[in-house]
Amino acid sequence: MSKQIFICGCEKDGKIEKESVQKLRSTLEEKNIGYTYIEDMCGTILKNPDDLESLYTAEDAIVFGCQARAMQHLVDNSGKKIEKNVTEYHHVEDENQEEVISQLESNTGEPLKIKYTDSWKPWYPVIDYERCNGCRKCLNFCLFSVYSVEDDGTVVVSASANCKDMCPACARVCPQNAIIFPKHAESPIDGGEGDGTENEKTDILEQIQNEDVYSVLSARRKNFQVSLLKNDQFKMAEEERRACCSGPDKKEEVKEEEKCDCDCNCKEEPESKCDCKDGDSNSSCC
Amino acid sequence: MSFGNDLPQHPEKLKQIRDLIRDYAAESELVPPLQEEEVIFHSGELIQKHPELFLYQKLLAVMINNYAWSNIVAGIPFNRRILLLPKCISHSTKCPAKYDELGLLCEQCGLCDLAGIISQADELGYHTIVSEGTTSASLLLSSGQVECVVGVGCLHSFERSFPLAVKEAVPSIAIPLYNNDCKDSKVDRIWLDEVLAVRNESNWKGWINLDTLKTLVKEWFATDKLIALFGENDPTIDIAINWMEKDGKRWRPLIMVAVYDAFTGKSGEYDETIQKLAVSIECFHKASLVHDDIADEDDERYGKPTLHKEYDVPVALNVGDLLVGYGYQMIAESGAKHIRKLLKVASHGHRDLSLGQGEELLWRSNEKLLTQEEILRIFSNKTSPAFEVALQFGAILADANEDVQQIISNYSKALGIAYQIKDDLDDFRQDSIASGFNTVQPSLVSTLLNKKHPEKMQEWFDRMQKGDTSIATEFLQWDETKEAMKATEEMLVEYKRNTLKSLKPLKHPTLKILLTRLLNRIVPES
Repeated sequence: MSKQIFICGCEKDGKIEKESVQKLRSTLEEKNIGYTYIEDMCGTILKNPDDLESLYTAEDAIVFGCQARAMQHLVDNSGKKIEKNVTEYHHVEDENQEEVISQLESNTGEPLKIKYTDSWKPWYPVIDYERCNGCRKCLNFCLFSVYSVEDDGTVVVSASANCKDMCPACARVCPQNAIIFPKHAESPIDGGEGDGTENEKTDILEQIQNEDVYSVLSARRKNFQVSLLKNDQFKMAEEERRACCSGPDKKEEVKEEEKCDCDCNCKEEPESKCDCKDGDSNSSCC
Repeated sequence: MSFGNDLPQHPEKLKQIRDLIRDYAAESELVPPLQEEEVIFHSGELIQKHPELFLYQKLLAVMINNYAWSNIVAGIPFNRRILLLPKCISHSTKCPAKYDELGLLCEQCGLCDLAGIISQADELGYHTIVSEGTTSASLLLSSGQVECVVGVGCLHSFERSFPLAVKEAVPSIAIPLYNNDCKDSKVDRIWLDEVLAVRNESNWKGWINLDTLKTLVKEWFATDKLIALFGENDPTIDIAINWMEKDGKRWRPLIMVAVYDAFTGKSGEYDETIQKLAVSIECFHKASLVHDDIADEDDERYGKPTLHKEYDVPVALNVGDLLVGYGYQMIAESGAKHIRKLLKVASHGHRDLSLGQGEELLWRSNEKLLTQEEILRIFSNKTSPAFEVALQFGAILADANEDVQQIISNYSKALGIAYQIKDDLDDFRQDSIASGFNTVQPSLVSTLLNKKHPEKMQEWFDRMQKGDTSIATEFLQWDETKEAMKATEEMLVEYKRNTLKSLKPLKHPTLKILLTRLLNRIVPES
């Protein structure tokens, strides 16, 4: 059984480069590798789940699209995929894409297409259950009742369509960084690895509920301004360092290198006829 | 775009509509907070006068509500105002800002309009939040501490947050974005700048921080304070003081002081007169609890033995009587200006409470299900007087006129009913209903159940009479019971609405705001 290939184009106000998707499709077509193009997996999975039957039942599949983690949990959250089946997920701009493609069988059929025609932009959260610890912060935080709790205590996304377009605020509140918005512009909310700073959660939401709101807000503003200032200072320091390495100091070093130990005049102003020189270069003494 | 959702895309046109509303509002006195129905009514009136505005129905509603608040907002210092901006104003791809849980931390890089708006707000002294979604806004609104909000957002988000803003009665002005698509949004700067800078003297008496007030009021019930008022070295007095001092939310004294503050704006200054009256109200309340517990044969209150369980019935009865006496003594010795008025209110409250209780007690002995009307009357008589006495005391202390007293009376009636309906529903939300229902306590839920499914009620009654204890749990799981609960929930909403409706003629904004907030505190959403 050959691997089945799926590509998500993230077409509905999506975030991945159209060109990269097109390039991948062309490559596959040139090699005569059959694939299924999904216009928008977030949309289809919710609105027309039956269209993705081939993905759920594929014994061995590769999906190209946005962040691998985002797609994996998007599909897993649907609960429809047959668990024992193997599915690999890759970003369309994955570095080792060539290698992955080189291992695929060719002549596996014509490209197929799964359309997404709904006008609704599929913007909703996906829960990474490997990280979620069921704290329910998102549930209490979301105004639009997107989340609910199952009888066994699992937090689930039960009203995806209620989610407010472009609002990833619950993901920022999540202490485990377990909430993914595949269409969000930044990592780690989009399912990427992030830069580590996202783990520094503050307890500002609790503070505004339990302490004097105005003092909390003033303190927040002040802290932020201090951090901006620090940032500026840091930038300045960076620039200074760079200036140190490539600026006048460095030139002096270079100049020194040109100087030789002897007492000849080329120390100050290079003289081509000086004894210490070997031809045009000053290799003999410097 | 659907009808009524439109927004003119030019500042001149927006200004024109704003001026129109100013003229309209000048004729009809708008006292905030307006209820949703009122806002809709006024925008309808405006459209009738200016049919071409029908495209802007929602905008009109926002503007009318703004206008109602404008005078109050102008009276609030800049540093007590919060400016809520939406994240979607920021540059959708190039914004360098980071976020915390409250929202975007703007670096004022100048790529979007936020930089300019924030510097202006900073200069004036505003606290600015650039929020993502509306959750941080709602957290702020429901904190009970925020005194004023100037909010920028799309008409869609205002629709969502309007009910909350009404419920919490936070003085607020909303400025809609030109677009609704959550990306690279623009706001009318002329309008926003005008609103931001507005500052006038007004009839605003200041925000009443109920939490701070509560802490303060609680201190008046410390043992040494009560000893100073009641005396000591007498075992009966000791029991009374102990009972007074024990637990309780001090709702009624808090209400009295809050109403007084709403009139006078003198938050934090309370002389002996006020303190004695606060204690008198609590005396009446605590006395009624002692007697109630005896009548209902309750063994526990606040998770501890009731007074007649800790001692015995005669002792408890007597302590209740003693507290009634102290209550009237505190009024007489308060030194208040209108002692006669206060006595009239207190004694009428006392009388009505006993009549309400009386109807219930006499009904109990004949084991007949009450009708809906009878139940609502009992609910009102049993609970409204206690709220009313507290509210009227605050108003009388502040020299309020008869009109206000009448409004307070109507408000209390509806509030009492809403409170009891909520209480009734809460009993049904437990795991089981202990004391045979609707034989000891009138219940709207079981009355509605009986009305629609008499056979179910009969089944329950028969099984209970046979001593079947499992019915107490099973009863709550019936679909018919759940259906009756649902109908009761709808009635709760209706009575909460009635409570707010009673405030419509009130001309005093600070009091209107307070009473709106109190409803939400006394009868919270479940």
